[in-house]
Amino acid sequence: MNDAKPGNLRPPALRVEDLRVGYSNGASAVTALEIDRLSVPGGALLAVTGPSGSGKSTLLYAIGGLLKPRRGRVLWGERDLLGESETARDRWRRHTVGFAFQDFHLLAELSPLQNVLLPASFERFAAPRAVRERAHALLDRLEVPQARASTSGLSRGEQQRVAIARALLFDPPVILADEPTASLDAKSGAVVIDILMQLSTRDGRTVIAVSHDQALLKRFASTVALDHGRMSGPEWRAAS
Amino acid sequence: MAGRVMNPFLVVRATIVRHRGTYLLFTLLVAVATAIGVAITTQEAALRIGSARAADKFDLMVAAPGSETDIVLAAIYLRPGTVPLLDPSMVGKVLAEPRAKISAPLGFGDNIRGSPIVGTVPAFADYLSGGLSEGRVFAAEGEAVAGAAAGVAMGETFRPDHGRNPFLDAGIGRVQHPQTLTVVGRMKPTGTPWDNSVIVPIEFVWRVHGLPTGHAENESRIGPPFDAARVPGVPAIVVKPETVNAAYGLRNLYRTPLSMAFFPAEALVRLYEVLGDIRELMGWLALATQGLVVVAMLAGVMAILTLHRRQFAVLRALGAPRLYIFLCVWTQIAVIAVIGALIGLLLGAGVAVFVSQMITRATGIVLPAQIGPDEWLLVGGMIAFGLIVATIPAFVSYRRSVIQSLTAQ
Repeated sequence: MNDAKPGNLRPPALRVEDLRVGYSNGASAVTALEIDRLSVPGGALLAVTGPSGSGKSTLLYAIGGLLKPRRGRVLWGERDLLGESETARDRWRRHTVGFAFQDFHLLAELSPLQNVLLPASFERFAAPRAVRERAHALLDRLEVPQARASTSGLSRGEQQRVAIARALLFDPPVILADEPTASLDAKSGAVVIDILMQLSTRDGRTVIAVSHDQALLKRFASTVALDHGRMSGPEWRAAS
Repeated sequence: MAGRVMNPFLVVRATIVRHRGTYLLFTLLVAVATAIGVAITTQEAALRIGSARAADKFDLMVAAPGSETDIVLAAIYLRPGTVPLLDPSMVGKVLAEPRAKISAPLGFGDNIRGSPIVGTVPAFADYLSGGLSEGRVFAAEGEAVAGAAAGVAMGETFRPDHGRNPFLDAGIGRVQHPQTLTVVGRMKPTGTPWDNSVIVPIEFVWRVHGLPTGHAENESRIGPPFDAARVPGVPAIVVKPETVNAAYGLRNLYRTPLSMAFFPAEALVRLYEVLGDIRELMGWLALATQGLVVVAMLAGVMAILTLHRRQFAVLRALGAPRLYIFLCVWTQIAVIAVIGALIGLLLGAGVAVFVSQMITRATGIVLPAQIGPDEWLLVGGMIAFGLIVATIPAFVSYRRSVIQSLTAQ
């Protein structure tokens, strides 16, 4: 795989400072996330865990630049994400961050290849040949059967692999995954965990996964635990 | 990003395929609403043009005082109905009018197999059809010229039935005249009710009804000049004046206590005003229908968009700019509006042609149902309206918070 060149990706380090995310709950304002300081080195493999409603998905979307916190800073390298315009953040996200979700969010009416090429349609009318070839290569690497008109016939594990290929289309140095194994059986979950770990340990990407899947938590190098928006950790350890 | 090209069609296609039943219904709603508007305007225009064409050859009408509309219906559109007869003294004067190129009395009252038999002068038969398609104009009392679509054959000799209705079940009140007619010519198609008529010398009509024939007893020739002392009353006289000035002069001249004179074109304009009011009313109804359809469609699209909130949020997470989301929503509705309106145009034109053919079959008036500027304007308006209205849900989606949609279960 030609994108497995850690040196070229150089994922920026992530620093979160004094982050407060809140939402209005009828009359009162509720603080969903309260993080004083979080540092994640480039190329790290980090799991974020915690019970439902603990704010772990909110943290993921905050560092992905998808929500506006009440205050605080999210720094990717020297880049202050929250100081940028929404348009600039969209572009940064497209090329820097690959997202994967619990429910994959594929367009079932499109083929696996078209799903992977979807992000290309955000900035071009037709995907250039090099991008198409890359999409094919990604699907090959993730062992997804390609000769299909739609993704609805794929297994759930295969669908998640299509979603990961889609996240990798622009070769982003950062992968953010929201419960990537929660709707998979143990066997396909293990394959997805392998892929996510490879993206970090082999390709050199920063991979941050929100999860409460013990299989994933056991194998990721470090874990941050959230409870009621407050953080404990991270505990760094060697990836298994 | 300025100058960035996006391609929302992947998402649009997937969405339309997923909700194809709903989108098909929306498209059909738009099509039907557009078709109603197109059919109304097309049909009204066709009716106006067709009826005006039918009155083309009837420059000035002189008749007994009464309803101009009744005369127009009876003389131009050959509708059965009784009109008062013009006083014989006036008939004599008008038929002898020197400023008229043609002064043609019209006499009704008989039919052959449902085709009305109309008595007049040879010159009018020729003028009406602009030359015959076969044979010649009648030259004797027992001769007839058939309209292009009249159900009699060239050379056929028949006895006319009295009255305006065909007596299909023979024997029940059927009265046949003893005199016979022979078809000696056929007119070219005129696209008017006269295509179904059989035109005969006015003298024949007078004679079979026991009236004086406009000539001396022993005289057998037909056509002008007539003996003013020997003409009976007639329902109407068509006058083709020599000049425009003469037309107005003659109209004034024959507005007398015993007669009225009018231009059928003017009478039709008054009819069209009524027709126009009806059209306006129907136009508003059609517009209201279209408005309702758009509102219904919008409500439906909004409902679908609620289902898609997460999908759009996911697209944003994958790096789609807000404009991309806007375009996805807008394109979906635009596709419905454009396809629906174009189908509606075809559907409306089809309905108009169908209705026109039915009217032609019933009245003989050829109605040219055509898609004109009015119809394009209507369809263009529907599309433009759809494209503008489409910005509302598009903007709503554009503004929607990504994170709320992503975390909402």
